[in-house]
Amino acid sequence: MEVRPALQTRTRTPSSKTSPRSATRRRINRLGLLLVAPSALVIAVLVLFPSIRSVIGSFQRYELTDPNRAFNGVQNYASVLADSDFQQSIRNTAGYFVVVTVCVIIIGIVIALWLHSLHGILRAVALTVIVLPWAVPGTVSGVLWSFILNPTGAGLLNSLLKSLHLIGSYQAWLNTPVVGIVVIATTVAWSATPLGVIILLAGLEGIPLELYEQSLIDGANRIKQFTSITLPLLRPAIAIVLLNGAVLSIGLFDQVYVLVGLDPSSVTIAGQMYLYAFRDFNFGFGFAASVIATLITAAISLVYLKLVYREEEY
Amino acid sequence: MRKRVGFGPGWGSLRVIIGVLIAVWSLVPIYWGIVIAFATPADLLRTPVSLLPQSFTLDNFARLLNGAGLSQSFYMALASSVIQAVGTTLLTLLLALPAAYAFARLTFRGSTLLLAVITVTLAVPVYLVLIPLFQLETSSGLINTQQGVIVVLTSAALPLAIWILRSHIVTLPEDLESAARLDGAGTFVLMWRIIGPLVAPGIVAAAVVTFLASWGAFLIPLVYAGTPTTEPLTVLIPALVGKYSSDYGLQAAAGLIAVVPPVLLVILLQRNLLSGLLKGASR
Repeated sequence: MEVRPALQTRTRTPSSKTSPRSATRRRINRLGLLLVAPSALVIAVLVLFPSIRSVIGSFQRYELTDPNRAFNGVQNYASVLADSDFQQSIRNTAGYFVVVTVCVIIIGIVIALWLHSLHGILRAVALTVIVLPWAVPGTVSGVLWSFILNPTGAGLLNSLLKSLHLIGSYQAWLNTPVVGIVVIATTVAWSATPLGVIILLAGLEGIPLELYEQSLIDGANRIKQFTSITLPLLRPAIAIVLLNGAVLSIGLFDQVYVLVGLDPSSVTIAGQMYLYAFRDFNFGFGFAASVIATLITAAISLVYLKLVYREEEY
Repeated sequence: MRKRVGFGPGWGSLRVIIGVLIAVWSLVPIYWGIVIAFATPADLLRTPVSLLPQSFTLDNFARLLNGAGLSQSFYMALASSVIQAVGTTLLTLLLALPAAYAFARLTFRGSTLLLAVITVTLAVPVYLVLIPLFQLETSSGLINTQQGVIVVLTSAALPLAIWILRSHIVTLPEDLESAARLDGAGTFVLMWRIIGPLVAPGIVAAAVVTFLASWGAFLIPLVYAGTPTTEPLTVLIPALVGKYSSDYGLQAAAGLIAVVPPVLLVILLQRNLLSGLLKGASR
């Protein structure tokens, strides 16, 4: 058994040959690496190396019949970017992003403000109800919404709107261009709102009450308070929600798969990547599409991070 | 008494209306799934539909749980879901706890770099590694096995779990550990006995986030576990309409069963979970 209290930097081991400090240093180094090694290994083998493999693969030619993987420069990228299906998937992704984030931010702020005004058991119950959609798996959420959006009179939405005389005939919501994207995005917003609420609520709770008290003295009303205090100070939280919405929209798969199937007219970039790889078995295109999607995500993340940090300078 | 600022007259009734709208938004899809799961086939064909349940039958659940052929697929998928989600959660915590402790408490050579790398991998989307991991799983024989799915799900959940746990351990007072160490506790004893209970909200948050993600995972099991013996509920349920039948009652019943474990978890652990997540979100 080695010396026990070796972790403490203040341990006094008088007149030893090596300096006690450096011995401790070495032990901490060894212990730290030992504790981190298993996680680091898993992440290296299953996340880092595969990511690098994807980048390399995106510059190689893949043919099912030809095992030779010759480098072909940016050919995969050029073909993918010129593919009308891929271009459509970018437009779809942009559509999902706009609708999902607008819904999550508006609904999220309303819910967070409402929750913020509650306390005690009422708040706990309300929070549980609000968080529930988050616990529903994506495909199950898709199934639940398919019952509501059913194109026949058996669909809840069609039935309700018809009895209210808002529509003349039953609508195939999901199979109408643009409308389909908006409707699917709304169902995704249903799943994504709880996390948005949690982030926005944390932001709200970080705003000092004195600011509101001061503005009351200055004669500000509720709307003025919201636009001049709440909204500006919520900006970092809103930026995180936006970023989250972008990542979610690019990678969106489950709900689209269940509600409309993997049709090029409605898939996101990630969905199109899946089609290249596991429908066409064209891994080269799949690699290129996955790298493009990752680069877009990274670019958006950098822009948001920049915005958030600039905000905090004030 | 907490002072609320700026709520004038009329706020009371507005607050109730907003509350009702929020409840409708959050609960209607789940409510409607419940109505369909307990409805008879005749009710499902009735148009226009009625908002309140017209009949009550357990027939859909009976066919799912006792029906020939179908129930076998359902039980296999249920077992796969449990194995994959529980396996992933346990493995993730086992790996993440020591790492999070080291990152929070020890400054060792390379710790800053390693933490930075792990933080970056938080942002690696699953589709970027989808094909290489498919090739790796195929060549190593892990494809279409429960272990194969668990490893991939773990690698996806690990960075966030480490991050959540680390941000909790950092906030603990260091005096506590020094005191325990003076009493002769080794690092591992320290981790499990002293730090463990104090980071409970963090562990709960990390465990629940991991469980929810792996229980709800779809793309990963779709690609790596698409066989009847390994596909989880999330893969089976969309296939229920079309593959076995076209009746929605059955699909709704299966969907409800799949929703029970995560929903129970969130309700039971709500307090711990949300305080754990809010703590993570606010730093």
